[in-house]
Amino acid sequence: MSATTADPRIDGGGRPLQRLLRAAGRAGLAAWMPYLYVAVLGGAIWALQPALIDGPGAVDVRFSAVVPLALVAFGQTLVMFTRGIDLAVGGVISTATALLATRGADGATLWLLIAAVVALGGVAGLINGVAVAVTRLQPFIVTLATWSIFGGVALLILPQEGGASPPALSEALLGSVLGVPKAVWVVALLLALWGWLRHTRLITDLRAIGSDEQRARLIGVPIARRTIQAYVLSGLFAALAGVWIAAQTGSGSPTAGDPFILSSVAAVVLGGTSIFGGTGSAAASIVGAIAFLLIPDLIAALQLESFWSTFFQGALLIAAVTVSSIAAQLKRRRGAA
Amino acid sequence: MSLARHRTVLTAYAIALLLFAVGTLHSLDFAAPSQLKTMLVYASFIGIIGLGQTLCILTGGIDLSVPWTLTGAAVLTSVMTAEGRPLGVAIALVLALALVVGLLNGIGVAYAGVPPIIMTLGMNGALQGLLLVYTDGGISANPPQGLTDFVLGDTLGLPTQLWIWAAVIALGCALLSLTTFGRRLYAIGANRRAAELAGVRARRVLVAPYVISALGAAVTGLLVMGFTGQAFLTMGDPYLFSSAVAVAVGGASILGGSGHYAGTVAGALVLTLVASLLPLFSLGTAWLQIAYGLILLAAVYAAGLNVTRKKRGSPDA
Amino acid sequence: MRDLVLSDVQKSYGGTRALRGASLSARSGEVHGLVGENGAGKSTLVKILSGAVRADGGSVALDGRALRPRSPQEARRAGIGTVFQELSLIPDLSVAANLLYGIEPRVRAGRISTGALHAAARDALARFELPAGDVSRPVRELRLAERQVLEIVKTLLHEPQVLILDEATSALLPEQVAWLFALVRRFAAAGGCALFISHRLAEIESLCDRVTVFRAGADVGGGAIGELPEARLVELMLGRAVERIYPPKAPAARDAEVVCELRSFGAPPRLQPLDLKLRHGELVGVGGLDGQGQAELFGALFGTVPAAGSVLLGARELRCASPAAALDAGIALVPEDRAAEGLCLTLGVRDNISLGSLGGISRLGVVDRARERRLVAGAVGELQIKVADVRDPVGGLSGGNQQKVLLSRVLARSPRLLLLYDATRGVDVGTKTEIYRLMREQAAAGVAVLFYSSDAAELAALADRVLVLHDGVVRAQLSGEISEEEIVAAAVGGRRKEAHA
Repeated sequence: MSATTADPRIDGGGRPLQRLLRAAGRAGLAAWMPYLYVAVLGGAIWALQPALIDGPGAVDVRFSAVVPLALVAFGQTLVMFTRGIDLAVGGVISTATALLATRGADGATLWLLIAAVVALGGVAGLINGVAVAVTRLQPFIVTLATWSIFGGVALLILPQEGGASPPALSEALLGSVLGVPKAVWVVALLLALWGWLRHTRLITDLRAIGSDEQRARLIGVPIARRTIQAYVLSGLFAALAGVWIAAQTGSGSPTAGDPFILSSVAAVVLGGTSIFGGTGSAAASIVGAIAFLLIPDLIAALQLESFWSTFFQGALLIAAVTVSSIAAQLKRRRGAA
Repeated sequence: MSLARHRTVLTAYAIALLLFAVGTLHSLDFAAPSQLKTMLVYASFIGIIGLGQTLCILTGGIDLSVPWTLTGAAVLTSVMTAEGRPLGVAIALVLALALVVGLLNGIGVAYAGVPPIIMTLGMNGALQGLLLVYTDGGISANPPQGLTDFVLGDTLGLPTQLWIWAAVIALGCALLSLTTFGRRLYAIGANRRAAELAGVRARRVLVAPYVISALGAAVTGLLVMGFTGQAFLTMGDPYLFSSAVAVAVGGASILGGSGHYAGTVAGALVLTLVASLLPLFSLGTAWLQIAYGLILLAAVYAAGLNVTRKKRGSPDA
Repeated sequence: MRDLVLSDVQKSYGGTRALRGASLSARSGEVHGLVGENGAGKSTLVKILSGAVRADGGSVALDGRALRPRSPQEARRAGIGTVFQELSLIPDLSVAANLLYGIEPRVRAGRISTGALHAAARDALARFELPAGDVSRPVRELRLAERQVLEIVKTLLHEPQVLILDEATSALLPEQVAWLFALVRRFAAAGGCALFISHRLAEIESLCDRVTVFRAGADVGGGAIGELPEARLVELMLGRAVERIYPPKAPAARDAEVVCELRSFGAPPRLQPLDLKLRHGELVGVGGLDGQGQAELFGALFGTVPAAGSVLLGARELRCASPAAALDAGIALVPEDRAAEGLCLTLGVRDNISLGSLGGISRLGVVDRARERRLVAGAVGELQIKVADVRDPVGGLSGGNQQKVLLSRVLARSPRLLLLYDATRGVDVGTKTEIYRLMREQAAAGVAVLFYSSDAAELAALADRVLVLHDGVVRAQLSGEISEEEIVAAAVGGRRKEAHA
């Protein structure tokens, strides 16, 4: 950029409509992608097998599956804002389901149990956050190690799949309120939570850390505290996801969380959050989660073997992340020139 | 002087010796030749898969697609030979497929700039899906007899498996210590920008670790199948952690640029010893998993301190 | 009263003494200029005042109270507002979020009202006579000049008592500079204390009331601006004694063989096309203020920046798309930042030296240890690199020895065009002498040598010819008896009539 062509004004100017269009262009295709994924996948399924979309109970089933992934992806988004990644969510979810499947509880004790499980998720996140913030080791290796540790803990509590989660738990979380499935309420609640959270100092700080940590320190962002908070929230959300899974399946599994590592990262990436930190939205990650979970339905609608969905989910993650990486490379090259 | 230079690697061997001493003190059977042989064979699986992982980690990356590459190689070979194809053809085909997997990982990381962790995580998922489709979620085929005989057989008084590992060790150490490729790999891991300005074509070099890792995983899959006499869909799971932990225990810095395969060999021994020791104290697989995590944390932390020490003394740092 | 008094401030990085007893006194109500060559210690002083680093010794007092900020926040709370040279804006946050970070309006339970934030940002920009426009744009999308303006406004919004402007005009247009000067004068008139750091002496003269000159980490003079003509300032900045560390010059004859030629070679948009002939035996230097296209020139030649035009080396026309291709074609570069771009600090001296020549000392991909040993031993001996064992990590060596390792790696390729980008910055005098001798030797042997230096004294004493770049254009080409004053004058501008040769 040459100083002689620099516009002294902060804004390019223009009429409101032009400005709106510019803003839309700036948010870019990336911001619309998750909605596009949902529309295309949903449309295809509806065209092939309408019952999968509008049949009886279809919404309930779909959103019940979306809830745990939406929860994990919410936390994962916060971590990825800081240029980190939380692989330990796998171990935390497993531990949560294992705990719930081996402790009988009812009434008040059930809520105490849930609170304890969620708090434990927070502690797990605290361990991750402190390890990342204090040792300055890469998040992926720290959380790879704690994934193994928490997974081992789950295995200690529940050596193999099974057990029985409290029936009261399933009753409390499944079903409908005011004719709307509780799962839908949860997703709506999460979206509302993001609506409130996205303008907080916390999110601004997390974005600042991921965007440029050096400068973030210069303007006074408390780097260590914010990083720890992101991992604690991720741990809390992962534990909540574990609670939901235990309610849904009525049992526990010491490996229940492992698939959520790939799927949560995929949901975040499909939602358009940059893997290089700084930008994104947890709401978009939830939409990404919905898109991700439409793939099995599309496979069913195409009457392919259900196992294809695992392949396409992995392939979609690679495709989405490749596109965003190449875009980031081009952006950096343009920025350097 | 020279000892100090190889301190991290030597530490790993010292830990292995210490663990061995603990086991022997607990029970003399621990040091029985047959027990030793078994432990070495188990270590060799981690060791062979650890070569590729070492190279990936040296460049600051990691290969998380190891589990399903390993499983895929075993399962495909068993199914193909059961269908009547010759063992040699099946193996050649499987290695070719592993090559493709490694190339895809490498190109994604080196050329598209995808973070290695996400690239290989996605690849692992995709491979899992393909394999589930291929096998319909279960396997009935038995592994080819030829392979079982080969792996379980002895050559010159030692399990053939150990000779293969010896060859891999020779190859790995030579690759890192003697070749231009090894030098360039270390340079990229230490400072990619400086390596590029010194004329290293970093992208080209960066593909190789993922190819070698995929090939190593495939070979390990064949050997594990021959050794255990079966191919099953979760056979690759333990090797994700164990390969990464072995590299870290061997003193490689997860930040790239420092470490050696000789260290990973010691790391594989340490892990196998830990796995053999825990049952002696009535601690099961759950504790093994916890132990792996703790060891990984401790090892990467120690290696990080080591790199900081090497960098110090520069006023620019 | 908001007087800022620094006395005997000291700061060392590793073994390098950046500040060796610097004093400065700026009064409330005045604009105080701080001038000095690159490396004189101005940036370190700014870092200490702004809480980015802590001084080793000496004292800083504001309003008579001791000031020792341990973090940027503490400095800000104490009333120090710094417009950073490298800017402190977060690329992914919006204009409004950046402007008002830490002083957002209407924060309730941690939540910031976007509407109020944007309104306050527009309001703030209006107060500074700037059109507000779309304050939700991420800063990443702004031009450099716009970002610099934003950084200035952001700093003033914290209502500091002391305003530090570190090269704040480097990217600004003339009308923006005028806008800034009006702001600074108003700030001082209201009782503030402004510290203005600039390379451009004309700006210092027109804005500042008093001035302090730094050289080599200490203050060497100063006073009211009226009593210090520009010539006197330059004299103070440069000092008198120029050590005899430079080899004699050897300007090329008019008809000497051209070893390298650039034909309308440029790197748009930062570097306009230029023509240049490098003749057998001559050393050609490139100078000018920071960021005037010098980095682009060297980057384009070495294949790290997209280039336009052509390079003729010997008889061949080259086009290098990567450093590897450039090296193969006979072009070698000593990069600017030894730690970030030059060396693999955790690797051994041997590995670093041979890294660039691996192709030449190997067969079938296997390194020939004997040839490598000869190569490394030769380099260590030739450059007198002090190292106990060539396998020791480079990071443990002194800065000068590190630079020698880097040079030997570059020279091991026997380049035909040798590029050096500020190769003597932060290096001791002994190593400097060694590097100058090598550059001369290379030139005498027929290698085309082009070097950039941020040190005008070095350019004047070492180069047979000096190109001074300004805003991507060759503003002056000096030869014969070159003086530092000529170079500085051409670089800081204002005297276009001298800008022809």
